[in-house]
Amino acid sequence: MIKKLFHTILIVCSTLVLTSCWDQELLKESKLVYGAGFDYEENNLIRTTFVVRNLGIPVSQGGVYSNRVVSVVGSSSRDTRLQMDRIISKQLSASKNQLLLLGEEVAKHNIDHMLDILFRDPKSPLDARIAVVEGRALDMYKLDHIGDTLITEFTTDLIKGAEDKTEATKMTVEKAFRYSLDEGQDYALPYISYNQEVQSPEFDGLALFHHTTFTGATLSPMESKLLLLMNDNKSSQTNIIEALDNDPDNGFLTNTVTISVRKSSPDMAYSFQNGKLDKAVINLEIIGNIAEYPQNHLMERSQVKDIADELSQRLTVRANDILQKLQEANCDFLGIGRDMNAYHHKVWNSERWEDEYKEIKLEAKVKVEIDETGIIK
Amino acid sequence: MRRGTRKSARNKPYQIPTSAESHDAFWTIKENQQYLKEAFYHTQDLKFREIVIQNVPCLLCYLDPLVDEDKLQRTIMKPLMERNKLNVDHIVTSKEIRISKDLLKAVSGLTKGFVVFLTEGVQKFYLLEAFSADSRTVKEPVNEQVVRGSHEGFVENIMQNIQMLRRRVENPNLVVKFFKVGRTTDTKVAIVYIQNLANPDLIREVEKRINAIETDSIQTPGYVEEFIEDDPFSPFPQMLSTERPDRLTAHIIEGRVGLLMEGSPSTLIMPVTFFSFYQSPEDYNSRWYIGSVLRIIRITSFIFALALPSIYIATVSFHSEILPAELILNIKSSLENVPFPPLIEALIMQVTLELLREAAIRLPGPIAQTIGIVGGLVIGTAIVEANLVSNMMIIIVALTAISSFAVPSYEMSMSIRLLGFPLMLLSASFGFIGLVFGLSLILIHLCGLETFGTPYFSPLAPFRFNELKDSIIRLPRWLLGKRPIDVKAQEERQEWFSRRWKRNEDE
Repeated sequence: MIKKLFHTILIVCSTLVLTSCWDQELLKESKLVYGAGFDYEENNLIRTTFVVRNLGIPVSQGGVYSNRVVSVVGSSSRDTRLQMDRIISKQLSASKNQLLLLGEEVAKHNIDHMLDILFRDPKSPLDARIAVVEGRALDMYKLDHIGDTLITEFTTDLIKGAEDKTEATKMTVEKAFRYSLDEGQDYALPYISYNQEVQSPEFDGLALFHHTTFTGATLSPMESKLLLLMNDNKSSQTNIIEALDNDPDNGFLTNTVTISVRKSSPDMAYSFQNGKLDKAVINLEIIGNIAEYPQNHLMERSQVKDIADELSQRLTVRANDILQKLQEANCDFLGIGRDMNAYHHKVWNSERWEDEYKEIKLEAKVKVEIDETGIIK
Repeated sequence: MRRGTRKSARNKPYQIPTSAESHDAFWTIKENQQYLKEAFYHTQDLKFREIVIQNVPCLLCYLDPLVDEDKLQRTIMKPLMERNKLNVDHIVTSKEIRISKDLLKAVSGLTKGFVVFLTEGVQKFYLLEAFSADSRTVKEPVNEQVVRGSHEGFVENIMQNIQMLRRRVENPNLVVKFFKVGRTTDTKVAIVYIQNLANPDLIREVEKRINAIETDSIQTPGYVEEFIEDDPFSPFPQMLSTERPDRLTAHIIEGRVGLLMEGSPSTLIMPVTFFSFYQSPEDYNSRWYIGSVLRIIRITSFIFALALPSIYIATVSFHSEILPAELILNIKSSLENVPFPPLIEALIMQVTLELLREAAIRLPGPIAQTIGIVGGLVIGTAIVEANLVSNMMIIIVALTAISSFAVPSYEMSMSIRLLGFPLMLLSASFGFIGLVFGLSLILIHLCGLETFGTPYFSPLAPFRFNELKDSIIRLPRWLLGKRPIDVKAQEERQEWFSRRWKRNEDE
């Protein structure tokens, strides 16, 4: 019994003394990266930009958070990361990274080159938002702050705001990995551009990807919305503005109608020929309320019906434009290839699909129904 | 360590020698007086009073502090002198009269507040009860206060305590058994239980363990507790200590055994489960929703008090990535200028807190408040401004302390705070892995612990869904038809459809 007790004490003491705190990573000894960016440099080199958060004086004692933007050039992202460690004090920790920006050029190459490092480390921030930037990511980060808001928070919130308005899908680092390896399903990342007029970054639609590369084609925010509705990605708010030219001379400045979408249900119909997919028709039904229509009170049901019909026509034209753009970019955003693989496996051939997708006839039919026209009016 | 491995032949414990051995009384009062004086080593509070009855010299002998003066006058002296007769049995109105020839009986009787009546030329003597039953007034126990409910608390007088119990349980089945424990102090210890309800095996076990006690003195119930508890090395208290008669009664009615001790207001209840420490008599006085919520809050407080500092230490030293991005900045900015690792930070604060608590307990009320202000405000603010401890750590330690004080039982609250320290060490050296291992060890220990043959962690281990309704939460009394099964009471039902009037009303 004494011996047993002695052994227990010995084990406890030695574990405490010998562990030497194992692989401790003290929070106060780390430097937090809040944003990262990748750009393409000459000769196949990568430029990595890190936005590191400075915490000089504690906020409780009147300090303010600030950013330090560091940028280095190297042959791979691990190489740049090691260089980064030499110019940043304390332990660099990217585990709380909020935003990953890809420069336009670098995105047109295989993005797996940059992201590989993230998918191997268990502590990497897989929920960071990922976006493509018009121009270079470094230039975007160099803005440092917009008004009172630091650039990383500003851009992240910009993307999150777009997600809430059905203008972008929620794309995190982890999702980008999943989709980029997925056959028969492509994706799009938010596209951020710099607005000269207000001198701030701006959410500018979606950048269409095929496998791991940016196709170079982008969709405007308005087009993104319709595309996401066709893909059944509606979020809490969706407003569609469309110009109508039913009465151009009624003295109003605008000739538009805005509907807020309450419910949308897309439906795919396929037709086959010669053991191949020939045609895919997307029937999109939108039920919405009128959010803005200054021209008329819309007392009559028939007036509302007229607007709905015209909207249906115009949105159908737009939707077909978008589908054409998708096909040109070879971006199977709607996951038609996936549908083939799952439900019509006989016609599915993963190697052939690359070429097949461009040739199928894609057609969209949009039907708008208007439910309510507002409270007072 | 386990039961049964102890050697049966043990050396007799050392005992303070007393000169009184069994000795026949002398025929003369002079000799007897001399003997008693010797037996008490000429202590000066031993008083003698000579009286002459029917021309026979007699001697009254008593220990002055133990004897009630009024009783002595009214029941012994007055009848004897007024009636002037020697047939003591009929004259003296004491409530207990013993006759003996053995002077040892006289000695032990004197220490219990009896008056010895010796007669010249007679070997037999009388022991007349005149015990002074003074005790302090009944007050609410300070450490177990309730808002609603009985404000009665036990006192240091065992008879008065038993009286409080008897008033609450007016039933001949309530049995009190006395034991004399401690060779020098000869302390009176009593167990109380309800005959035909409490499990006979349990009663036998308790009696066996109390009878096994061979010690010099018993001063607090804590001594008894340490002698009879199952696992003396466990950090968890295995007997519930209470100063509330209502709490003791409630447990006795459930088939448990209570232990009272002369000279101490705290009583012990056995066997108890872990969850009894998180119950308060007040739960049954408020609406059952409130009682349930309070219980859940208390059980949350257990987890907080046990693991909160360790979780924080593990998080900031190993796994900071689990913090949300908005929160991590606040925590990091408060940590930035602190020179110590989180473990040292936590130890500084915990030790300071324990010091303050100890200091405040010993001090009288008004000064204790000053200590609170000095501790809470001055040290708290100054230590953060001096960058010795971070803001976050203050919050964590304060929350831990508050949670630990939410436990209705003082022993449990101390045990939990103490258990927090090894957990802190583990999480400082191994992170969450260490913490999980530590918590698992505690859980394994809790599941394995038995007190008086009943599982300590019941109703979670062994799991009994039906009994969760009176341990984790508190359902209305009319739904608690059966007693907890872990005490193995002889009668399971405790409630018989009290709300049947409702059914009649509908018809």
